[in-house]
Amino acid sequence: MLQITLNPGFVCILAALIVLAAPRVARAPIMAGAAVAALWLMLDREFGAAVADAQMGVPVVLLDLDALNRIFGIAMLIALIIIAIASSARRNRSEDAAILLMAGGAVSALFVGDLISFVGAAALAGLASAWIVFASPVANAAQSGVRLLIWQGLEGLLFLVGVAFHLSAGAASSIFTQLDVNTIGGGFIFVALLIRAGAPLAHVWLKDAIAHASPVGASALSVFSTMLGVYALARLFPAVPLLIFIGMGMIVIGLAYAMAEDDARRVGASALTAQTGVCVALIGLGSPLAMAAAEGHAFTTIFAFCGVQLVLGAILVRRGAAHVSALEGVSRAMPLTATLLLISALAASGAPLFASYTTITIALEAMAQWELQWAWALLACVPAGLFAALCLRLSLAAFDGVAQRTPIEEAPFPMLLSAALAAFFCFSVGVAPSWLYGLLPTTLEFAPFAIDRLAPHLALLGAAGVTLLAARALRLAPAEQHLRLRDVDALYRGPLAGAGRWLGVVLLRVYGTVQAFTERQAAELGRFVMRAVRACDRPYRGASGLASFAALITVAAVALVWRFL
Amino acid sequence: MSPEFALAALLGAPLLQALLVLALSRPPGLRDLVHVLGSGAVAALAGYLVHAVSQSASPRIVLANPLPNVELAFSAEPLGTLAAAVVGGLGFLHAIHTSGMVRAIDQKAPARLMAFSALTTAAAMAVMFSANLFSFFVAYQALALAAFPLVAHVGDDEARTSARLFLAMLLGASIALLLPAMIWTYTLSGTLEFQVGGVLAGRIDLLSANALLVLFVLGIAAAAAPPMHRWLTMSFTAPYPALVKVQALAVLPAGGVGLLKVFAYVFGPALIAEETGRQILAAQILLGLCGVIMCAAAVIALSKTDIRERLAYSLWAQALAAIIGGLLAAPAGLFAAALQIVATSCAATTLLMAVGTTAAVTGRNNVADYPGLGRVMPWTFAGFAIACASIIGMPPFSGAWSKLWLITASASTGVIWAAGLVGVAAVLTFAHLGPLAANAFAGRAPTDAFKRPDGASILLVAPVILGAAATLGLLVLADPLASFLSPVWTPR
Amino acid sequence: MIKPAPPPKRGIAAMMLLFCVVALVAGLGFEFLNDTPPRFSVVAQPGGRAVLGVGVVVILVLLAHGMRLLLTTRERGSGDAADHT
Repeated sequence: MLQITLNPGFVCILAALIVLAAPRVARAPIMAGAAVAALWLMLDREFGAAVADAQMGVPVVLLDLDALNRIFGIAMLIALIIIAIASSARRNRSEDAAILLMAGGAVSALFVGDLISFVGAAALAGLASAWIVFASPVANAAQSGVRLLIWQGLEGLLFLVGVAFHLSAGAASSIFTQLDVNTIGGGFIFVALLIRAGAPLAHVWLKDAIAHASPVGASALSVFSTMLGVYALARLFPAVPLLIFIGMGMIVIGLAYAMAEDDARRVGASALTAQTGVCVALIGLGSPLAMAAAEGHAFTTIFAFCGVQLVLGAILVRRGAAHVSALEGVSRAMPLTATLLLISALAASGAPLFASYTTITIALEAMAQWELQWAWALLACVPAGLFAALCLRLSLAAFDGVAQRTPIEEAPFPMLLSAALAAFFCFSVGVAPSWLYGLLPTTLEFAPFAIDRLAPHLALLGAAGVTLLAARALRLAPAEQHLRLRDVDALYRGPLAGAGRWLGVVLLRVYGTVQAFTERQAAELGRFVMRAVRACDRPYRGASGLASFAALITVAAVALVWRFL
Repeated sequence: MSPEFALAALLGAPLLQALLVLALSRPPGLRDLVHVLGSGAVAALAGYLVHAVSQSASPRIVLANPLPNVELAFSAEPLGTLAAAVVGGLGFLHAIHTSGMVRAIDQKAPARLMAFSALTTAAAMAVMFSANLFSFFVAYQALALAAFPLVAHVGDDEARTSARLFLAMLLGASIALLLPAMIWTYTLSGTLEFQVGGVLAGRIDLLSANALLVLFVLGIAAAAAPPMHRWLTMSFTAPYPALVKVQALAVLPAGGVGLLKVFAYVFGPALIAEETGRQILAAQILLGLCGVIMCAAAVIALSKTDIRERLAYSLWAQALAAIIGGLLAAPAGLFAAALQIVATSCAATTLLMAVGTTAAVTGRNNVADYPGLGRVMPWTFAGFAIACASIIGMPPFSGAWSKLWLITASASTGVIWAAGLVGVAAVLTFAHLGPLAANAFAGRAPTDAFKRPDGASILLVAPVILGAAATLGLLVLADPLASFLSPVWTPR
Repeated sequence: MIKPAPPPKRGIAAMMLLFCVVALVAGLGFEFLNDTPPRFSVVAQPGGRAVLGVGVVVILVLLAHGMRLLLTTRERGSGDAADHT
């Protein structure tokens, strides 16, 4: 069998360059073909490191396959195929290339075995994500792209500094394995990864980017951006207790904004933050079952939210906006899309029969083993909260029951097909999860549909649904209206920028003063030198002239005699 | 062809090129062709020398022998050869760009510009291939004299002032500070030769080492260590083709390489105090000074609205980072500094060429006029963006790896605060270059951008793209470069 | 201050309510049937997760009201506020 040792991500990066020159009809097949080729390259390999090299005494391992990155790789590459199908619905060459570049960078980063290559690949993925936002036709996307670029640039620089400090401790230590968060280098890398995963305070970039990206771009962002951070945290910082708190914070912020926001894509992004928080908290726990749960949950989250963003994007394409307050009539004008909205929202919330349910039950089991009651309770809140905020809110708004004849104008077929594929994938894994369990690093004998797991989950979702419906009936729930919520970025967009400008002005004044001072000193020195020189410029007259001439002759004679003796 | 012949040809070819350009200045096509071919020959010879040096050849030619033990000699050693290859290769791209620029903006006296550009290249090559301090000194004076007409080319008062400052600073510092340092070195060690392992190693006491270090660092004003930096920040009045030469492709890299040669071949381990095992006091003070001023330069660049001024301050910050690498007194630091000079040369040349193309085609020099231009000149600004990313130090572009090694070297020699300052400077460089590059693509495309109806010619755009590709090349070349440069700190 | 909602439209609200009630009853029923002590926390008791579900939605609704009160920015046109660059 032909053994090609090539990092699968490089195939996607190469395909990105080809797509820049390809005609429209070829672009989607190239994207899908690159994903398939990468999958084949990955699945055909044995576990273990290959293509190892040494650069400047530092090992560079370009391909190191094991169970952890294989499961992430499968998820990302299958999601890339789905996104490729959706991309044929619109014409945007630079966005296609950007999506491939981001996917290539993320998948390469998954499979490299040393820190330097990881930083390079992750930074490439980050820059490509900013390109995706730049290539978006949504209004004000360019400014959002600049903001994303700043976040990604900051993260890249933090990575760089962290790796540099880590290397200074010993060159052999650049292998991609567990780091110590208490060292300078490890700390910097930890912060950079928290930014990537969307920890509290850094959670704003994901919402901002997804809200301004195009439909296909938003789903690509939700698949490839934060999940790379989750993988890296699982690889580099397992069992760091701080991550449990960070994950809890992400869950709270995600659920709160999901319930309160009006822009449906921001709701989806906040829901993604909440599910990512589940993964991060499990990584913080660090036990084998928790790590398996984290990886499985990341796998299912990738597909679920790819589908959600594709459906919301389809609504955006047809209606020009995807606001919860403006979803009326979607069920009449776009019945298939509305049904898919309900199904993919159910999948993302962790309803039974869908994939997220199978992994959230493992997650709860893992938390229960450590008897962290409040963490377990908060984890159990996630399906309930998302069912209410994501599924019920959106479906109730879309299926508004007003009897009115509306012409049916469905979303573009490729987008429907891709969303349906994502939903179907979630459903098929949901009813037969043993395939997924077989991929996990820890061998798992788990029965998610055991009655003592299924029954409480049904009760949880049912109670949440009843409560929200009752609140709406009693007019206690917040009404859907067109608004936007501020977040942490209101702090740095205003005050921080002003502070930076003030600092620049102050430094410029200081520099100008110093420069003026040195110029004055230099002028003074020059004048002094001129005066001294002029003072020597006495005309040779009389005895003093003769005396100096005689002295000169004497010195010359002495020097000549000395030289020849 | 023997390496010695290649070395001699490399030093003589730009001189010949200058004479031919002046002689064959009409018709303009012939002049441009001579200029480009001459630069191509220089690039090819430099590439051949790189190959020869990597096969452990060390050619040396001697032109004169004025004093006992002091020769006017040139030799190809890894550091100088690498820098010469980069300068030569980029110089070829720059020559193509210059021929495009002189047509696009109707440059006055283009033959004179090209001739002095070639002379500057010759002098820069001489600096990089100098085999001892005396040849370095002679070549350095030649460099200052050759580059002076470039700065003064435009001919107005502003240009004349900055040209006078340029000449006064470079020549004055070299005669007042570098020459005494050379003489002192000669008296201490009996020779002026560049030796691997440092010619002063073991022959100098701590106080003299401190004083000598200060004299050398300030004397080689072309390296732009503060306070000898004004020539760089004032030189932006030069016309664009000359600007590239002065800042990115000849004077600044020659100064940086010269200073690195002094650190590696004159001082060597003399930069480390034996009792403490750390750098000598003057080195630490200079490290702190360069580090702080590097951050300040990046912030000041933020306040400048003329793109040429902004880039001048930005490149000054990058040059200071290279000096920091050399002052760390460790092989890792020297490697990082060499990598930084190479990466900065590539990126700075690309940046200045892109900015020159923009100015020629749209007439815009102000940062406030840049948003949206990337949509009407995508290739030029793609090169601009890649070069910006490299200068900022964003992974995966090449400047990131030189910064990485700079921080690693600082941390491993115990000067963690220098590592921190490099990181801070990178963030500040991002602040003044990042949004500029991003907004060029993000802003609304201006409707009246082009002065010329046909946009930018291929002569103006292709060098930018190729320069950006060269900037990316360091990604794969870092390891071969390390083994190529290793004879600099470990004797063969 | 709790804003009054417009009158709830029909649509699938009734159907969703039916499904949620069925799920709740089925879940609670099976939970009480399969009650196997000991449990490790109060929330793991039968019916505990239903209470958790109610509590979560109540808290989220209150939070949403509060956030909308405190954090709303009125959108001008269709975009974000102009950037400070």
